[in-house]
Amino acid sequence: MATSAVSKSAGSPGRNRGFWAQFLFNAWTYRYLYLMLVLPFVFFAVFRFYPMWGNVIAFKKYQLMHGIWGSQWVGLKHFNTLFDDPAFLRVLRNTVSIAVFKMLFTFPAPIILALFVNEVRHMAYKRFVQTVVYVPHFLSWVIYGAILYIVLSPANGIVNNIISSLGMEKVAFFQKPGYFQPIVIISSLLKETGWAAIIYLATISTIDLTLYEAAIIDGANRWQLMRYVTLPGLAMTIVTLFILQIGFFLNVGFEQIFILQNNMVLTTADVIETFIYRVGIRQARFDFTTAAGLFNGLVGMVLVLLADRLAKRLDLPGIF
Amino acid sequence: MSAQPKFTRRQALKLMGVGTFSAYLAACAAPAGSSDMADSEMPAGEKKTISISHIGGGSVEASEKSQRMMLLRANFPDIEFENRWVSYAGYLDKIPVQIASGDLADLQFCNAFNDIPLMMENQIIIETGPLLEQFGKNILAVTPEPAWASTIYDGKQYAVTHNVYDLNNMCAHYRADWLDKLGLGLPQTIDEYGEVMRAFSHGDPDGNGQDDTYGRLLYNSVRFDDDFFHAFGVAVGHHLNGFWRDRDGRLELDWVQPGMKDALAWMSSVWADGGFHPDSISIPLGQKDNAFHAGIAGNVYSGWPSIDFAQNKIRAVAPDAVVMAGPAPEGPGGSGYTGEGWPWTFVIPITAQWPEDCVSVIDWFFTPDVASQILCEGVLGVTNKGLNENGWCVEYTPEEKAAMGDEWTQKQNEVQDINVFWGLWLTIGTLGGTQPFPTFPPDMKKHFDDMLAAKYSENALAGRDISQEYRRLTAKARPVSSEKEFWPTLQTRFGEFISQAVAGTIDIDQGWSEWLDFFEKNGGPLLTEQVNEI
Repeated sequence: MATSAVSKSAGSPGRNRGFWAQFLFNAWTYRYLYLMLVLPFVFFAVFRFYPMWGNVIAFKKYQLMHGIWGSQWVGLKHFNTLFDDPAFLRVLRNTVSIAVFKMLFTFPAPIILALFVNEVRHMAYKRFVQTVVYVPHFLSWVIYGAILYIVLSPANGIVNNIISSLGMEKVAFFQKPGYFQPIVIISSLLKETGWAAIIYLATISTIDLTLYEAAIIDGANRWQLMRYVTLPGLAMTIVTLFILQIGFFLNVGFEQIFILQNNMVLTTADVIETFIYRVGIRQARFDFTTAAGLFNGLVGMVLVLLADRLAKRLDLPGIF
Repeated sequence: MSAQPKFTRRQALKLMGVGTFSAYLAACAAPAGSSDMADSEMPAGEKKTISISHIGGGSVEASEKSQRMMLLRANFPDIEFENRWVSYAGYLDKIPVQIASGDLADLQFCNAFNDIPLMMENQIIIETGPLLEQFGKNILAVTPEPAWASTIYDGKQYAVTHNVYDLNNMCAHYRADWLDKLGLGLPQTIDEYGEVMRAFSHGDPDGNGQDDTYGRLLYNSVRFDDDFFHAFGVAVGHHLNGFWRDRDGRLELDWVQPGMKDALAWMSSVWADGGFHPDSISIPLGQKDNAFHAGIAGNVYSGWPSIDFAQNKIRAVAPDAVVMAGPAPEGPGGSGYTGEGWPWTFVIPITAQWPEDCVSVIDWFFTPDVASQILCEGVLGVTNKGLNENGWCVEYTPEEKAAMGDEWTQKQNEVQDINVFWGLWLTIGTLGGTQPFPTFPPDMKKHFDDMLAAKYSENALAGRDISQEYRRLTAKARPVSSEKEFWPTLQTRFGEFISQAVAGTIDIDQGWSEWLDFFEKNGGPLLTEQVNEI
């Protein structure tokens, strides 16, 4: 058995090698495994790590003709500009608000949907439900946004027609700042919950059936099966996805928000991503944009580390 | 058994081979650096290469097939043209990235007001004045002198061309049949205008007995409806670009003048009375005319060439519909429609190897013989009649198109992708927007004048005259340095304020005070100072 032989030799006690010697020994011993890592490593090095050097322009007055390194250092000027911008506080508040509500509603929704769909015993109906809830994911936000505009139109939208038929005043949903964030959350739920449930359904299908059998023998009802078998089986997936998602906490969905927002509702609709697009990218202020992006990334990284630590404290699996 | 021995050395070598090949591909894809061959002679047997970035046509394939591109290639066989098409929709996002990366085409299409300042700041475009004198005589002959002002920096010219088509084609379109039914005439004053909007909304102009019509469609966030604003002596500017006027010898932004508050209060009162379509202030820009075309609204602010198009659309639901343009309503501050000015240009980046040829190529399009082939709408010989015996293009008249019926539809389908600015968007428009050049010989000019008269209805041509008569242009000649830092924020805040003020979601007095305060604290005074220095 080659593997056990390798394991023995690699870990055999009494072989007192230096670091590099040990490294080279391991590299040669596991050479085929390391070879398999080459392409992923190259990919990450070229497309993920190398571009990180570009973050340095957040601290420079970036000018194309001088390049990244030739451009003048300006320290934290762009960060000061960002934080001093009168719109930024509002933008940050909106971003956090939408992010929190999205996390509260859109994260658990697919778990709940997966649990319920898993309970459906009629296969044709189960497939029908799955298909219906998946379909909206395949519509782009451009199409979905247009549908929302039509459905919620104060002139002749179906929702307002119903409101009007009930004798109530029509509501201009896309013109009142108070409605914007609920529209974002609800439309996200309707569009993406089905798709996001797939991974949980797939995980549920891997849970050992004997656990269910044992629980049934012990007298568990369906609710208890869900509570004590299915949910614990999903726990690792839930925690991993939660930690990964929290890394993108401040990325609240540029496409969706950009399409749904208008000047009437910017008070609650302007978020960091739309702010970066409008002030940074459209004005070719890439140094400023990078500063804003770096801030976004740092917040995400801190949140990931905190979430990972919290998970471990709760005896749940982390990602590191 | 272990899985490890199955992964053989041969497989590992294959894997490394794939990696090496990928790296090779990546290296091949890297952009080439600029050559030192500028102004040098071309080696025998090799072609010069000139790239053109433009936003005409529905795709790069469509613009490749366009008559303009084919003419260009046929006339310059010693030049290899690289067609770097950018979609019209993607232009706004693409151009800043091109500027930041330096990946500009040799002939780069751009907006003089928005893009050239960014290029100047990055020092990536060359002066074109001497080149134009030497290689651009046809361009200079047809371009009005004021057009160049927006691209002069420190006394040097930085554009190859400017758009030579209409500075303004916007005007108010009315359902004339609705006015007749209601016993109203075209409104001449802002008060009459308000009454017409209320009547359109509540007077059942379509006669179906239901309260289902509206007056005006606002232009998404009120960022375009300058006919109202000019009546109060102010304007928001084309696409919220700002409008500056000389006030007592000093240029001031209209956005902070008292007339702006009066205009907003007036619009808010019409909104409260239901005179505006309730969706139009917040729907995406591209959908703004839909309710007009559907026969639901009676007034829209749009380009005069679309008068006939709109009327045909509306007649699908209202066979007697008549659309006509009306004058800009007169108010206490005057009247007017805001013109776009001269924003569209080509520039040459410092990386261009053949700048003289770049100017010559564009200049060639401006020669009367060539312009007379490209002024027509449609694709040569497909959706227009092709060239006549003099070599001048000929369009189908509306009657001829109607007589063709399905055949016309088929022709349009055949070329529909090309018909966005006719494949290669030059700074020369097409007949309707572009008037025959002053350099045209009299018989050539008469040919195009006659064709123009046959192409549009009387109502549309009257709209053209109205849009010209009421055209108002901002007095600010070109951008200033502080715009980059302050303008986006001011623009956003102002757009937000005016749309909320019109829809009545904020108190106008309070909103106005807050806006003035915001302007003062966020670069407004510096901006005004710099505008007055240029």
